[in-house]
Amino acid sequence: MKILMVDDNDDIRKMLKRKFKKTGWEILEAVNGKEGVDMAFEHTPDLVLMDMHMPVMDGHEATTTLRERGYPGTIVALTASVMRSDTDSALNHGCDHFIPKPITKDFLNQIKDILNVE
Amino acid sequence: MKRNSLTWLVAAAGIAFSLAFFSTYRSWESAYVQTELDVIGGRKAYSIDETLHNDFVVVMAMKAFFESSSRVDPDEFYSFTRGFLEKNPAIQALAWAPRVSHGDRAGFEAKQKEQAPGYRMTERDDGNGMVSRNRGREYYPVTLIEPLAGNENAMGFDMASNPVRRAAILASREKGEMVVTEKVTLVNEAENMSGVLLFVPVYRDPVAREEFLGFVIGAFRVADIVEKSILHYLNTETRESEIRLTDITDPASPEVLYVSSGFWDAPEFYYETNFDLGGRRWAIRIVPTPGFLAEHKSNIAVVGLGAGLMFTLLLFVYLRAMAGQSEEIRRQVVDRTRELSRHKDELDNLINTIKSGIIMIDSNRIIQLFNPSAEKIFQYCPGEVVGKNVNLLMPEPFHSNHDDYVTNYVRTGESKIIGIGREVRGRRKDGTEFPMFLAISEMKIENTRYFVGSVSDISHQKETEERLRFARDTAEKANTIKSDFMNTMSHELRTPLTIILGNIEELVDEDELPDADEIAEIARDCSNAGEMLMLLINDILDLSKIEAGKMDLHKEPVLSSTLIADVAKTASVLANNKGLELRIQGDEVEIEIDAIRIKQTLFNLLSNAVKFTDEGSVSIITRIEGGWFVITVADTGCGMDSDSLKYIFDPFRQVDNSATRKTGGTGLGLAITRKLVELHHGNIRVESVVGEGSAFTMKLPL
Repeated sequence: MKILMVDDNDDIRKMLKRKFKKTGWEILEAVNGKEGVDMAFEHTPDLVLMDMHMPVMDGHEATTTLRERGYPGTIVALTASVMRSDTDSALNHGCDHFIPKPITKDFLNQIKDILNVE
Repeated sequence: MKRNSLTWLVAAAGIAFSLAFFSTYRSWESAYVQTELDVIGGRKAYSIDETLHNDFVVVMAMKAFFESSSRVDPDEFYSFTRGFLEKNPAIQALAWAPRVSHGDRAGFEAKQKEQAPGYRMTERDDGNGMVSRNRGREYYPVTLIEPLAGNENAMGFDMASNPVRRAAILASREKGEMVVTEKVTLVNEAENMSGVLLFVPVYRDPVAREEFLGFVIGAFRVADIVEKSILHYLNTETRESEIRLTDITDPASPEVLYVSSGFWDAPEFYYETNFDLGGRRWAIRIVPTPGFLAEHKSNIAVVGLGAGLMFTLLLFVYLRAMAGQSEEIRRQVVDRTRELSRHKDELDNLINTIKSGIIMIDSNRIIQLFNPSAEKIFQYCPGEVVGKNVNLLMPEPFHSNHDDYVTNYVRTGESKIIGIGREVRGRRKDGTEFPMFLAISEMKIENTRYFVGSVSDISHQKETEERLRFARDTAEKANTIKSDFMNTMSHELRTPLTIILGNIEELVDEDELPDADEIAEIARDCSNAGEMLMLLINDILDLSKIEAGKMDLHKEPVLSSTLIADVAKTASVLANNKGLELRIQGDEVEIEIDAIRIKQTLFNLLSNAVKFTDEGSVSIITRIEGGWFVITVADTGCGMDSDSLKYIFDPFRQVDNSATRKTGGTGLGLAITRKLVELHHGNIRVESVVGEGSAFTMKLPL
């Protein structure tokens, strides 16, 4: 499995990397939407974890761009903006799933379910 | 009062006219009745006269008979008189009374007794009987009389024995002419039957009137003469007149000879004529019967008078009523006029005092009425606009279109405003426009169409509305901002929480603990996130405290140099870390401030400046400007575009979140800074050019 994390917060990415460490999956990192889009088309990850509030290019724009340009993988919105409007907005822009911050103990299982892997 | 006297005048005229009519008609009618009566009376008088004449002719004929006969015996007398007596019933008797001197009395009586054995010369006694004639000088005894029957007592009666007869005899002897006696009671008659005797003297030589022989005598009952002569009148069904015959020979003592049964002393109408006969003068007076009067005298005069008076009365009553009515009408007119005047006053007062502007125009758009409130609203002087086209009160395009609009409305009835009322623009005298509410109604006075507009200046209302709308918008915006703030705050709080909770998870499972270095790093990350949370919470508390007005300032006099030096000491560490120069310059002044809070704001500005500046310098410049102590914090950093500048002092508005994250800013620093400066009654503004740097200038009152 190949996972691309797009988040401007270093500590968040660090924390997520620790979560995925045991799975042995390949973890890629991008610090904003623009970088995320570039890396997604370069590495074609199975899943993109997309933060929404980011400098340069935010998660909405990045997702829209990915979908427009035919990115086939799964995009999961992972954001601290948890209002109903935020959820709708993320899904409308092309995200497949929505996981609010802070993440729970089940986070890894949620991702595995989404990827349909053990 | 005038009308009243007119009424009386009309009444008087009516009465006068009625009386004049009555009088005229009466006199005309009287003349008519009198004329009729004269005709009737004349005819009757003539008839009586003729009868008398005929009767007297008989006596004259008898006279001639005696003159021509030397001696007349009873048989001859009978045959001579019989025919006359039959034809002339009014002749009561015809008689012959020769003159007998006292010396001849005895021979005379003896001679008569030869023919009639019982003959004697008689006179009336004191009662009613006949007695032998006393001795006299001469006698005129009746020797022949026809008819004898009924007149037996008269045979032998000496005419000279009675004073009335004797007077007539003497008169006749003296004149030698026939003489009529005054009224007598005939010998054979009852007391009440009037009669007259006609004495005609008979002479042997009638021409010379010599050798007097005696008298032929006619006895007449007056009633018979009258009634016979007017027999045919009496027989008519309607008796026209009554008659009275009077002997007026001695005017001092008139003697009534005949009076008809219904005679009355009609003072108004009568016919009277006299005729003389045998030395006497008789008067005949004929009066109309009531029936005749009724027939000839209509009641037209009376009816006319009555009708006239009645008409006058009715007219009078009518006029009185009219006068009363007109008085009532006049009173009502006065009342109504007073009432109308009062209504008009009320209306005028209403129009003059009402706060709404009232404008009335005719269908030619000419202003007819413009009340004081309208003048005030449109700022015209009294009377200035009446008579002008109403469109001078309207701004374009209404000013130009209004005439067409009204014309169109009058033609088609298509209304844009009449009867509806709406907000429009008005134009004052000075040309300024204002919003007004205009309601227009239409009315007709005597078939002329008018439009009445009620105008209210709603400028204030519009301003208030505007203010309210602004306040509402502001409140809504504030609400949105607050909601956004809460969202953002939630986001900002979740981010460090995510780091903490996500990392702590790694330490939960004792059997799968990471190595010691890893644990230390996790602890460090969590600690940083916790501090970040702490900063956030403090800033949020500060901000809400200020916004709730619960932030108390502890002001004290501070020297500007001290203030700047304290801040610069901390800031220089940050600047030096990034290799930046911190420049300080400015005036020295003592200001009264809450030093801790102002230092907080200055540190915030300086740390931001350092944060966003990678090379160059950060400056603190102070100066005194007017009544203000001015502090400017400038940098040579990345700067901000104008969009960002608009929101720079709003909470959680950061140009670049990543930079904030890197430096641990909460995004609330500038919001708090502005609030604190404003608490000091100062202000803060920012100028920036992208790529060249930013300058925050804070002004505090001295």
